[in-house]
Amino acid sequence: MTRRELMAVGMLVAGGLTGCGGGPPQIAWNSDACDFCRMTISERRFAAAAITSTGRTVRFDAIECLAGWVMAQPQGPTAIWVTDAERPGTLIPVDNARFFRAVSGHSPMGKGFIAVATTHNLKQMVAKYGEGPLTWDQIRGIVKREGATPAHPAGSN
Amino acid sequence: MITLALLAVLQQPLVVSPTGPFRTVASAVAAAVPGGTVVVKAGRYREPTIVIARRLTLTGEPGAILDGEGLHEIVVLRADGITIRGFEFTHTGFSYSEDRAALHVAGAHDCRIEDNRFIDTFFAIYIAASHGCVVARNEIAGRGDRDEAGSGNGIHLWSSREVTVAHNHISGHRDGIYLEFTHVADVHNNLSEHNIRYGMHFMYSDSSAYVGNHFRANGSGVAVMYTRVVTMAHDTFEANRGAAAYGLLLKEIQDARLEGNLFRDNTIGLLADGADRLVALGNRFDDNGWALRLLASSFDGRFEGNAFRRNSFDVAVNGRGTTAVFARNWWESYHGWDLDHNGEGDVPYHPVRLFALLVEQAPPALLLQRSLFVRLLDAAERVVPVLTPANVVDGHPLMRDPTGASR
Repeated sequence: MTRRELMAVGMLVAGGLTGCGGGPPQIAWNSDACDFCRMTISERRFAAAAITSTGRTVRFDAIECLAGWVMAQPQGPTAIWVTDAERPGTLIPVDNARFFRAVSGHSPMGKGFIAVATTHNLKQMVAKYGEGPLTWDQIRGIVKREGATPAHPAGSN
Repeated sequence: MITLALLAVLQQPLVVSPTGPFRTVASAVAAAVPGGTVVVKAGRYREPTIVIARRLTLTGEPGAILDGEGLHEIVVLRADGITIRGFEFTHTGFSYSEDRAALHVAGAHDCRIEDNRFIDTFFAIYIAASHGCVVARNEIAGRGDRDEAGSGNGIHLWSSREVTVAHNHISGHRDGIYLEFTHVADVHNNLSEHNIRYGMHFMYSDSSAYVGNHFRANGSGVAVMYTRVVTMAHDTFEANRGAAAYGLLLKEIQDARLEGNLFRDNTIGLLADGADRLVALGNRFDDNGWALRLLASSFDGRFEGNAFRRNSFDVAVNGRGTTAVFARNWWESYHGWDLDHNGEGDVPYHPVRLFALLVEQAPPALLLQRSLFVRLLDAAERVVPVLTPANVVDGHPLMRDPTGASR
């Protein structure tokens, strides 16, 4: 194990400890504002949260906002949670989630990302949520290519 | 069956009532000829989702109630040119997995939805991929339960064009009026109040106008995002007092024009974040915590002929300044003079108080707002501006309120 890998492990452990200390952050529904797009967080199926490298809790109304925010950070967050859409209002660690992209795109920012816990039956989830399963890395790749918001249809006007 | 078919041909309109001849709305809809009319008498109709797939006019007489029994959508429109008028829709129940609506317009153009009531529905009116619809004079009252997730939007427009939303009253929903990917909308003279999140919310909805609407006491205010070419005129944004609430949030908006609006009694009147080429003319900002907060991400705004009265802070900016231009506004706290009597003050006005900058850096300092020390600080800074952004300045402040509200 190289020194860099050791450091990474150390950071993960530290991050994990911080995370374990309080479990996933609380979200004050209809009151907290998304740290990426400023929207008031309301929809229970789509919220996400993270702990920054400096220990601050940030909250998001949508997975696309979480990804957009992560991309803009010089230092990666120490913990990330997304909502298990099968249990609205429940945040789970991002490593325990798989992602889908719904064709109808009815997530708060219109990109259609949705997450479910890996414990749910994969076949059922595919039938229900459409394109997927996608990994968190793939979600970030999509947001990196396309941005956190849908292609703006204004040009067609 | 033959009798009913005969009735359908002979009798126009078809009449639905609890005693017949048609006892369910669905049976009359099935029997009606395209272009026909169905009249529904008073009564509570509990039936599976009514799907209308031909051009019809449905009229509810007073007391005609369509009840979803807490289980399902009530009416779905799937043909062009349908009119729905005079009904009460109630009890859709709520769903996490679908955007369940009392009245769902799915790819049906030129619909008219008028003079209905929507009581305790999840989404009230949901219009998707439909053009040319009119939604007017509906009374829409959701449950307004802040702690529950059981509220969808009142009027929800998705991927539609040339929709008119006028003279509706919406309360108790998540967002009163919601537009996404909806272009060339005309939203006027609606009252949207006491909704859980936003009085109105739109994203990706270009080239639309919002005139004469009244938004008050909604959870966060009104938020408009990621849109080009927005006109908002003669709207009222008031009584949004939450810790992070605003009258109007402009987020990633290009070429918005705000004219003759009233921002009153909000924590923040107008919050602009990434709002480029914003033009604000003749608006009134009364009794807000912050009348105007301009984030450095907003470029090339122009503020002219506005009136600022009784706000704790008239203008706040983050960073060292802004590219916005202020000219010929009326500032109640302006203490200059006009020796040449041209109606404009002879000394410029710097609307950013030093204290506003301090609060921007350290919000708890707000506690000191009324202290003598802070007044001295502000006075000293006015005489010799050192810290406040020199480029945020009205070179020609008006001596009289151009909106005529004050004297």
